[in-house]
Amino acid sequence: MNHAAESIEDRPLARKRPGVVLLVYAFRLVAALLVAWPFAVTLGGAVSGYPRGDAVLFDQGGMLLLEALRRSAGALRPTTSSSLLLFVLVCFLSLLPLAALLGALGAKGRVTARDLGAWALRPIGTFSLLLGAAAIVEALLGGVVIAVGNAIARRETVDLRAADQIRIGFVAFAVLLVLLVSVFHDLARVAAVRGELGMRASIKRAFAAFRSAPLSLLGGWSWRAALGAALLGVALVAASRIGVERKLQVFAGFLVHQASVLAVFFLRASWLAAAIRHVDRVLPKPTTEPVVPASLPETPAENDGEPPQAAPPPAEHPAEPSAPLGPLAETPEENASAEASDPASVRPEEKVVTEERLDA
Amino acid sequence: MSKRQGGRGAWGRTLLAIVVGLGATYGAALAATAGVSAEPSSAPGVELAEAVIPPSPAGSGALAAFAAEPMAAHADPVASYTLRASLDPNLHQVRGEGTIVWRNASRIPQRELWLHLYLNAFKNEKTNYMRQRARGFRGGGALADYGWIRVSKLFARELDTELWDKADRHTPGDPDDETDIRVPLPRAIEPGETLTLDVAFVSDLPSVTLRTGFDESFHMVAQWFPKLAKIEPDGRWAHFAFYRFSEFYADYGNYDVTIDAPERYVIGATGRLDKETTKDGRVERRFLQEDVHDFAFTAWDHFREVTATTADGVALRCLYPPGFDRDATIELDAARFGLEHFGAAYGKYPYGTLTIVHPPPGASEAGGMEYPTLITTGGPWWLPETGARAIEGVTIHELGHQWFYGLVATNEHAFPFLDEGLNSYAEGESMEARWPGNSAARLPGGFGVALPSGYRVAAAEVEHNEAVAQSAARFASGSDYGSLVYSRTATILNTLAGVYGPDRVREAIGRYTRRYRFRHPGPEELLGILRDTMGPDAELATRQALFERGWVDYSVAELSSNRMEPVGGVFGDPDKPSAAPVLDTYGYRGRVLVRRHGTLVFPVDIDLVMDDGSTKRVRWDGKGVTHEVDYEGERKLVAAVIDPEHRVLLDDDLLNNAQSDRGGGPGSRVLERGMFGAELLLWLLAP
Repeated sequence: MNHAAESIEDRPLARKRPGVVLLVYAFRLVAALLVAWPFAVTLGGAVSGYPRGDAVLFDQGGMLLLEALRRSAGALRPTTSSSLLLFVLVCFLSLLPLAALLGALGAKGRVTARDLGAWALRPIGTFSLLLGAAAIVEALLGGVVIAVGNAIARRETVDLRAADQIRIGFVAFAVLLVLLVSVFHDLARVAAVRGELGMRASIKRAFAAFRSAPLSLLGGWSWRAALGAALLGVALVAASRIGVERKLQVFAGFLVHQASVLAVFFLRASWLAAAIRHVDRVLPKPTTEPVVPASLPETPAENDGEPPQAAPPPAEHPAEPSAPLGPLAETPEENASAEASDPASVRPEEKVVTEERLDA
Repeated sequence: MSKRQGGRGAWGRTLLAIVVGLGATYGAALAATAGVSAEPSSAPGVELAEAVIPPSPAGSGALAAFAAEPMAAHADPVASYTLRASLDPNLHQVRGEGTIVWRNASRIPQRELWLHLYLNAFKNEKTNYMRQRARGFRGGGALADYGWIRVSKLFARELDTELWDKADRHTPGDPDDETDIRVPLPRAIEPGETLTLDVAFVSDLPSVTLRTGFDESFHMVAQWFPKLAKIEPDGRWAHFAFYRFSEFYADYGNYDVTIDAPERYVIGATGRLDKETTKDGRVERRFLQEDVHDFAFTAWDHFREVTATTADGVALRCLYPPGFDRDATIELDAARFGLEHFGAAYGKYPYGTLTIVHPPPGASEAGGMEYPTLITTGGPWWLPETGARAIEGVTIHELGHQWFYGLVATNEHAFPFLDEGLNSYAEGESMEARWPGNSAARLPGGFGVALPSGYRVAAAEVEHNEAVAQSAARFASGSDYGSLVYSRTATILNTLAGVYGPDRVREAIGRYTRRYRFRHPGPEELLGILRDTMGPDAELATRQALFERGWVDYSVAELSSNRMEPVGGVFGDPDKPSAAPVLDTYGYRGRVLVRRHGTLVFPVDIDLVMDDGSTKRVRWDGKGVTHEVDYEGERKLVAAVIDPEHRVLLDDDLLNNAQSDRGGGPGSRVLERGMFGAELLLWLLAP
C-alpha cells in the first residue's frame, strides 16, 4: 500500500473512483441475486410447465400467481426465513464494501485489490460499534417520537382519521430523525476511516463536522437521497411499463432497474466523498513527531481517544511544514484551519514511520 | 492534474455507458412491445376450436328474455311488527313494546309458536353460541359486556291469553340456551287464521360482537326483538338456536318501528323515515317498510351523513365516522353501480331507500352485514389508498344480499350457500364488470388481482374438507364455512360461466331471483333452473360439487415429439420384403396424454404449442379419465396446456395443467423483480 503524502486525495470525488463504485454495486447485485434466487427457483419452477414460463405469474387477474403461491406455500416459508437471514447478514457485510469505498475515495492513484481489502477490514470493529450505536439511537429516538405521537393521537377519540394522521405525522418526524442520525452515522464512519479513530472519537468528529457546515451537509445528503429515490421510482414505473412477456422485455427491465441502482450508488459515493471533505476539515493536525509503531494500538477500535495532537515542530527544522498523517490530507483552500496553521514539512524518516503506522 | 482528468474521463465513460444502456434498453423494449396487442395474436397455422359458448354482447336477447321472467310485486305478509323502541345509550338497552300480527300461512293447524331470542346467545358463557368451540370467520373477540333479551309480555288478543307464562324457558334439549323458545298455544290456530300478539321486552346489548352490540356510544341494534321463526307451508317451524356460523330465516311482513333516542343521536334504520318528533331532548323517528323480514337500526352521536339519489329514485344514505368521507363516497358510488347492475341482472330493487352504515373502527364486528334496506360496511379510512378494493367489495357484497337474502329469502341456517355463495358469485361478477382484471386489488405498477381468482384459491384449499350444501351448524371450522360457503359456491358458478358461458349463468340466476322474489326457495329450485337453462350436465356437476364434495383436476401426464423417421421393420413377405412405406409428411410426430382426476366432468380445450410459438387447439369432452392427443406437423411440439383460458376454475391444481419440454429452472422474471426488490430494501436498510 502506498500512503505517502502524494497518495492522499486532496479533493475526494466519486467520479474519480468509478471502478470502486462498480465493485460496491457488484457486491450489492450479488447479494440481491442470492436473496431473490430461492424465490425465483420456487415460483419459477412452479409454473415451468407453461410455455410462457413465469410470465404467467404476471398476468392480470393473478390467477396463476395466486395458485403458485398457494401450491408453493410450504416451500416459500423456509425460503423466506433463509432469505431474511441472508438479508440481515448482507446488511452487516455491507460495512466492508462501504469501508473500502471510503478508503478508495480518500486515496489518490491506482487502487489495488490489496488496498481495498485492507481498507475494508481495518475499520470493521469501529463500524460495527457505530452500527450498533446508531441502531440503538435510532430505535430510541424513533420509539420516543412515535410514543409521543400515539399519546397525542389517543386524545382524538372520535375522528380516528385525524388521530391516524397525527400518528403518521409523528412517524414521518421519527423517520426524519432516523435519517438525520444516518447522516451523523456516515460522518462518523468517515471520521473513523480518515482519522483512524475509535467509536467515541469518530462520533465527536462527526458532530464537529456537522457543526462546521450543517446546511451544506444536510443539503448535500438530501438532494442526493431525493434524486436517488426519484431514480428508483422512475425505474420501477418504467420497468413495469416495459412488461415481462418476452425475454427481451425482461432484460430491458433489468437494465433499467440496474441503471437506477448504479446511479444511486454513484450518488451515495458522491455524498461520502463530500462527507470526507467536510470531516477532513475538523480532524486535528497530524503530528510531526516520529511515531513509533510499537506504541500504536492494534486496531482503531482499541484507540478510542483522540488522535495524537500536533506537536510543535522540532527546533532544528522550524521552517519545515508538517506532513498530513496518512489520509488526513487537507488543502489550504478547503480547510481554513489548515490555512491558519503553520504547515511543516516532514522529514523523510518521519514519512516512513507514518506509513508503517497506517499499515498497522 | 492528469489524474484528475483521468478520473473525469472514467466518470464520463461510466455515465455514457449508463445513458447508452438506458437508451438501448428503451429502444429494444419499445421495439419489442410495439407489435404486442392487448389480445394474443393468432400465430400462423393456429386452428382455433369452436368457442365453448360464444359470449353474447351486452343487452343481448338472452338478457331481455330472462328479464321478462314474471316477478312478484309484493311479499305475502305473514309476520308483521309494530314496535316502539326506546334506546338508553348509557345502559346500552332498548326497551320495546308493540304488536306482532302473525298469520298461519301453512296448511296445518298450529298449536305452538316459536320465538327467536337471539340476543340471549351473548347472555353467558354456557349458551349454545358461546359453548361452540369452532372458531374463525367472525365473532372471535372476547365479550367485554354480555347481552340478553328479557320478554315480559306476550299476550294473544284473539286468545285472550298471556302466552309467555307458559312458554318454555330454554331451547329444546338445551337448558343452558335461551335463544329458541317454544310457546304453546291454548288452542290450534287454523291455516289462514291471524293472531295478534302484544309484546313487551328489554334488550341489553352486548359489547359489539357478531353483527350486534355497542362500542362506547355507537350502537348496532340487530336481532334485538322477539322474532317469530318461519313457518313452512307443510306446517313445520324452521326454528333453530343461535349458532356461531349461522344467520337467519324469517317470514316476510310489514315493519312499523318507532325509535326513541336522545336528540344528539343520528339514527339509521331499515325502511323509510316516516315521521320525526322532538320532545324533551329526545327524538322519535318512525320507520316504515313493507315486504321485508327483519329490522335493524344503528345509533351514534358522532355519525357523519351523506346522501344521494339514484336515477331510479332510490334514496341513498351513508352514515360514517368522522374522517371517513372518502370511504363514504366510494360506498355511495359502489351502491349506485350495484343497484343498477344487480337490478338489471336480478330484478329491480323494489324499495325506496338504502342506508349504508360504516361502523367506527372499534366496532368492526358490526360491519359487513346485511339487513333489509340497510347494510353495514367497514374498513379503515386509509384502505382505499392501498389499492385494495375492499371497501367497494364489502359494499357490493352487502348490497347483493338485498337480493340473495332480502328478496329471495332462503334459509340461511339450513343452506347458507344459497345466500352467501350466490351473493359471492354476484359480487365477483359485478366487481369484474366494473373493474375487469383488478376487482380485488390494483397494485403498484398496474398489476391487478381479480376477485374470482381469490375465490378460487380460497376454495381449492378446503374443497375436500366438507360439503358446501349443509347447515351452518355442521361446519367444523370458520375457515371451512367461509371458504366453502362463499368461495367454493362462487367458484362453482364461475366454472359454469366459463364452460357454458357467462350469459347462461346470468340468465339462470336472473330467472331464479325473479321467479322466487319474496319467496323462500331451497337448493332444488336453484338446481332446477340451472338444469332448465344450461342442461342436465351442468345441473349434475353443480349438484355433485355442492352436495358431494365433487372435484376435478386436469393434468398433462405425458408430452413427446420426435422427428419423423423412415419407417423401420420388415414389410411384406420376410423372404421378399417390400420397400418401407414412404411418409407423405415431413416433420414431427408427437403425443400428449392428459388426465382427469376427480368426480366432476367438464369439457376443456387443450392447446398444443409448437416450437415457433404457434398453437393448435383441440377439444376434449372431459369424459373418461385419460385422453390422448396425437400430433403430426411441420413444427416440433414443445408444450401442451389444458384449459388455457382457465374456464374450469374448480380445477384442483392449475400448475399441472401444462407441460413443456423446456424444463424448469429459476423464473427469470421473478428473479429480476426479486433482485430489484432486494436492492430497494438494501438501499433503505443496509449501510
